Amino acid sequence: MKFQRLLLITTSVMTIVGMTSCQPDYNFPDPNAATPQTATIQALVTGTLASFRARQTGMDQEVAMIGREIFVNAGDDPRWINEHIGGRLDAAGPFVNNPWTAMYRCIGNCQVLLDRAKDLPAAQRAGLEGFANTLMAHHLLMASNSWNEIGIKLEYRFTPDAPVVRRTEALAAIARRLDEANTQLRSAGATFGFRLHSGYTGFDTPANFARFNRALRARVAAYQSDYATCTAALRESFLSESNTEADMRLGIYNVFSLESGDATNYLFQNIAAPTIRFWAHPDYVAQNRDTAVDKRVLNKVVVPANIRVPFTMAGGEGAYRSSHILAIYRVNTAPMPVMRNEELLLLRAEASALGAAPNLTAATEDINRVRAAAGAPPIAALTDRESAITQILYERRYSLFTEGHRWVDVRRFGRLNTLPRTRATDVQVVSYPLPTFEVPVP
Amino acid sequence: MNKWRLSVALSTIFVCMIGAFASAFAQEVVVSGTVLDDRGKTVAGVSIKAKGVTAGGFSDSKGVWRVRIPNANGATLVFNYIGFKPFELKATESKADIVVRLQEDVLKTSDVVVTGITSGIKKTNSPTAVGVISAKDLVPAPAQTVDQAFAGKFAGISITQNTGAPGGGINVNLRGVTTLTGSSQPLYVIDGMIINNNAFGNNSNSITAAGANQDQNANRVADINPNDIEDIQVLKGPSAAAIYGAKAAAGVIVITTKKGSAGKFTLDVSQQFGVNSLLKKVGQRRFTTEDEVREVFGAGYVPTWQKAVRDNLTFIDHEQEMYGQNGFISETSLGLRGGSEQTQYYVGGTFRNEDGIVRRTGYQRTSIRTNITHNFSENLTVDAGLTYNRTNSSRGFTGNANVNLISLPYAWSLMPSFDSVQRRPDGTYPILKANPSNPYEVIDKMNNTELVNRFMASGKLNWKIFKTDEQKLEFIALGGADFFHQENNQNSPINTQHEAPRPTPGIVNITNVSNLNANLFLNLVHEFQLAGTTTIRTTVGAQFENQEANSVNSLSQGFVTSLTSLNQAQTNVHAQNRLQRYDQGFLGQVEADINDQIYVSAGVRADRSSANGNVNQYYLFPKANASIRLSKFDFWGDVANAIPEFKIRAAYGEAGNPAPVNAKFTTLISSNIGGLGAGLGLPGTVGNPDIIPERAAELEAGIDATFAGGVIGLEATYFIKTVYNLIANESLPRSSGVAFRTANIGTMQNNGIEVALNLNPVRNEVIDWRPRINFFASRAVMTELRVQPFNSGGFGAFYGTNRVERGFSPTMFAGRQSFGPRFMGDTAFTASQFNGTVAGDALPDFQIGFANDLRIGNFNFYFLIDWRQGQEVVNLTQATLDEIANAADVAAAAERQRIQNLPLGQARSMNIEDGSFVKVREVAINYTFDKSAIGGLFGDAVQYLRVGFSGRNLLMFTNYLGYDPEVSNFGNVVLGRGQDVAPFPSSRSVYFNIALGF
Repeated sequence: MKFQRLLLITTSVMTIVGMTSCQPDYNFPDPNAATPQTATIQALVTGTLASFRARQTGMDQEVAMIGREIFVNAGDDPRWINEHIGGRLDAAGPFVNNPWTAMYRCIGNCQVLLDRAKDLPAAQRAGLEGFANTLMAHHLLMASNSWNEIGIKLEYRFTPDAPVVRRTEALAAIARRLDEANTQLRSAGATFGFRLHSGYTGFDTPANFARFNRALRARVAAYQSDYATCTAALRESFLSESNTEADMRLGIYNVFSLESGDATNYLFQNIAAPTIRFWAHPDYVAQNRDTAVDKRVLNKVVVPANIRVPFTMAGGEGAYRSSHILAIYRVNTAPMPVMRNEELLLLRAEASALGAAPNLTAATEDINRVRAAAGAPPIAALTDRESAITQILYERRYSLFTEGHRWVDVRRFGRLNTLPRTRATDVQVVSYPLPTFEVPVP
Repeated sequence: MNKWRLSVALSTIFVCMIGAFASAFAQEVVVSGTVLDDRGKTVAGVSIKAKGVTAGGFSDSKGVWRVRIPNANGATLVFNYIGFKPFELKATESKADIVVRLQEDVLKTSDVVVTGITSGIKKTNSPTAVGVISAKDLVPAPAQTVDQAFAGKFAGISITQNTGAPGGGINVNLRGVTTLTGSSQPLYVIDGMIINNNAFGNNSNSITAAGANQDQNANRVADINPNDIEDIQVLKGPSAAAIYGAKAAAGVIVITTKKGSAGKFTLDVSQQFGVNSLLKKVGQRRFTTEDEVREVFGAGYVPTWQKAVRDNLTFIDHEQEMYGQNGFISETSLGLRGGSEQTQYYVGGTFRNEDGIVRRTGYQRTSIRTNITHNFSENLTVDAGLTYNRTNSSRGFTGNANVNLISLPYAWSLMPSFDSVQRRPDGTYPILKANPSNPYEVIDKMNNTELVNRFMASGKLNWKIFKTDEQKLEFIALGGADFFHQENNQNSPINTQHEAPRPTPGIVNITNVSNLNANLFLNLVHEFQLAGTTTIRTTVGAQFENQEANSVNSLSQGFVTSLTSLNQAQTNVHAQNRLQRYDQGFLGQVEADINDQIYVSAGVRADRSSANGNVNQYYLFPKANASIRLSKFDFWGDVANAIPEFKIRAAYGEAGNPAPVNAKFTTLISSNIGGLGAGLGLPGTVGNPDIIPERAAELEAGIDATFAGGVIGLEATYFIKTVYNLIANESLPRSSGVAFRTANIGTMQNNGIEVALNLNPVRNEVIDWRPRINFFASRAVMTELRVQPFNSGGFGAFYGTNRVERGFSPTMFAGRQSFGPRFMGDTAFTASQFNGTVAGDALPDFQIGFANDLRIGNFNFYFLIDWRQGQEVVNLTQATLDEIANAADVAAAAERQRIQNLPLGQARSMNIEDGSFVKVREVAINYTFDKSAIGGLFGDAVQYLRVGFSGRNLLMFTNYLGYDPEVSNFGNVVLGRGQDVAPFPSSRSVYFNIALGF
């Protein structure tokens, strides 16, 4: 009996000890996904392109509302009016934090690509760096556009003490990054080591992609009022001089699809639906001088079929009304532009008119190319700087509707006060506030 | 189950079987008689055990018992029956017709409470304040889910319903807050087995765009059938729960299910019929003039108003139309117990079906449980339990919504009270102009269901390895597996107002979750009997647990006709989330019970987990505690007449809260663009490979006493709980490319008091009156913060958010008034800085539970009142009504608006409201027929017949403007509690019940 008990106790102890030795592997890898160090370059490039697009989720709507291009009918939420038209942008709220976060998410993904590029062969490395730096510069520019003189950050730290860089310095840094990317692209060989989506058709080799890079550089130069650089950069960009509608569309796009994990066009809406989210600001139609023929009005906004107009924005006490709805994108997978030839022509017009040696004739020609494509009658030759600015702002407003330009354009020419103030309490926003988490607590 | 685990179980059983042996008896003493209770009624199923010798038995259905004691000198017999004080009988010679009278244990001092995984001690000696709920007290009025039934039952527990939607979602907090973002819920242990209480996402945010944390998920303890429960013991904090180690910081709820009983066969049958109805209406604005209509809803609504005036229908009670259904409830329950001395069994089954207060919502639960106990020999006992539960809930669409506003209360708050948008006779629905969706159409056409099939199997092996007069060594193995499959199905048909504008109209959204938890405890318990009645018990053990969960979501959009199959969709999006966790712990504890006067114990537990940054690191959780029963010492003397029980106790213990599974990983998020295929990008939250578990250290001290000769029972406890290495998502500057990093961010301290008063002022043959009062108050404060203070939870300071700031309560609200200038329009804009103004707190200042149990003759009358004072709720439902001037009280709404928009320094977040309430939680009136009165029923088989009425949440007294101050839009969270966003309105339920015992 005693032996039996001893045997049992020994067996029990051994089972306990035994179980500790045949434990499963506690140090298993993440069951859900790869890490930034182990993911393929293609997967990271795809992820970066998706995050590059994600900015447009809200930002295009929001800056379009600040620029009095559209109203976003978000039902009851009074913040759309309070923040974008009332000017009380909340530094701790989603309208300030979400676009900032989305932009820096993409910038962070570009940084991951730059880190991974170091392990690649020279030409592939240069290609990936040129690509990542260009996309990063684009998003830094978008951030600077919104945060203007409040400033943006150029360093990526886990602590909030990175320096905040104001407009002039930010533009200079963005220009430097674009130039660096341009150099990298030129030593990147004939092809990239990764695939891009159909929005980059015609811009999917290092050489072609560099033309997008130069177009961006031209935009930055225009913002810097450095028209010599602007003109030079445009020469190396994808600018095309024809005056057809198709040519106006030439450019780089964010694309959408119905595939798993993909998204649909953020500004798409069913224009026959009984409720409508995006309405055109009434001035968009009211201030156009060729409403009968200008396709930039005819094709971009319509009177809704199934809703009684005028519509009034909730939270605005009936002050904000509209009769037209946004109708640029008629299918849910329509691509959204990142940069188009139409903008390049208008940038060249601007450089011609406002450069050190103004050439108003050349400017008029470029403007009329854009207008011809839109079916609008040509303008008479520009005669002076002020009227050129007015005309260029007018054309940019209609050509680049909801593409993120209106607010930035009126601000850089000191004409913020031309944005309509429907109610006395309305504010013409100058800049977004710095998100609270970017500010160290004393 | 893993191979090693199975082989261990088999080998253990095999080895144990060899060890079984029988004994033979020689001389004996035979005693017999009947057992009566203090009212003179016979008691069946009383357990009888001899001290020091192997003998015993049970009383039969007529209360008759007989015991053979294999000892010429006889022995002392101990009679035990739940709810009664143990009775000792010295049997030295054979004798018949002994009448044993058991005294009811009114103040429940002789209940055994848990001190370790396999050990317990009489409540009179317990060093900690363990909460106990017996079967009788658990569901006097039926509860939809078991956690709902805990409310108000003892001091230190806070139960908050997150939403009124059928199917669960209950927050259980023991002793206030213990974590910021870790599991705030206690660990549930049923018959020794840890069960899963996760809330897996139903992904309804794919339709509402409200965010995954606002899906109003039900946590899975909802599957447990309250009718199967014999007794619940609640270890409120680390001081009592330390031996459960790394997962026990928020307390442990130890549930024992009903077991069979030898010597008698009983069958309990009960049937409940009930009705759910809307508890409270909020109210909507009544319009009187066309100008008002124009001002609020615009000129577009004037024709609708004019038509309403013509039809003389200027106010439609939409709340009544939407939530006014009287939902029928039926619950049938059956419990069967019986067995021999060798084998006892329990079989229980419950079927509950209820309709909600909204059409096409409801809840169904079917559960079957079998428990079998088999005594192979005096030394070897095996328990096995098997449960199957099936719950099916239809929850409707409520809560937050960011597109299409399909949430019923949300849509309601935006729609005019004069707009008749109910279903037309021809089956179509008018377009609701004020909102993208028509709630009546949502009710009739959309589905949101959750189906759970769950199996739980548990086993316990108890082997007394050897036993002498002085020593005893036992091996106890406990283990089991808990598997469930959850299927969520939401769909939104194409022919609806809200689907039409979508890029791809029509949605079918299906989530499948499978989850397995398996665990095994192996324990050796050694008991050493010293001279006199001092016992020293040593336990060593090991525990192994693993969890594997897999959640797959398929979102299909763009349907041409029907919504029957994912195959017909234009676009399918799939998402998967896997959880994997292995835990291992070792424990040892020594307990000494000295002369029934002093109890001391000390122990330590070491745990490691695959969820921690360092998977090989064992974290130690020590404990030590003691109690002294002063009333058991000689010096107490005559004081015992007035104060028969007086105990002082103190306990210290530490327990952990593990790092969230996957918190150490930076899981790149998948994306796709333009058909490029699987893309990966930075997630919002980066993992932290250095994450360590939270550690809660609790010191509690208190007294337990009975006064006035046992008429008054008092339990008072003070505790200080300090939680170190709090885990939270450290907010990073978004310019880093990510938003959060999981990190150990600081320390908080939480202290509180609990007082429970149990009274029995009147007790005689006719009247028995037992009021019970419990009081609980706790305060928490952040004492250390290693990261920048941050807002978390809610919808920003504009409305009211939680803020974690050193020196302040972690559940405080910060509002507009709490910050310096931060809007671009504000003068001297710099940045948001907290100015120290607290706008409220989600936790109550105190809470009181008052239960009253009164028996007069055959009538039993019971009620339970739950009072919570001084908690605030951020009422966004009201904010929505206010913002568009659609609230019932427009003047008050305008005033709140005015306050909101005052210049900086005077502005307030307008809808942070006082959420204090008093609720009549449970009411029951029963009449029990005398056996003589029902003698004719089914021959003599019927033991009892009880009929009565009961009710749950019958009344609510509150100044709160919303449906119910018990609300949590974000579910069971600490940061983000008390946010009211268009919740499913709460209901009251009233039942008629009839119960029969055979």
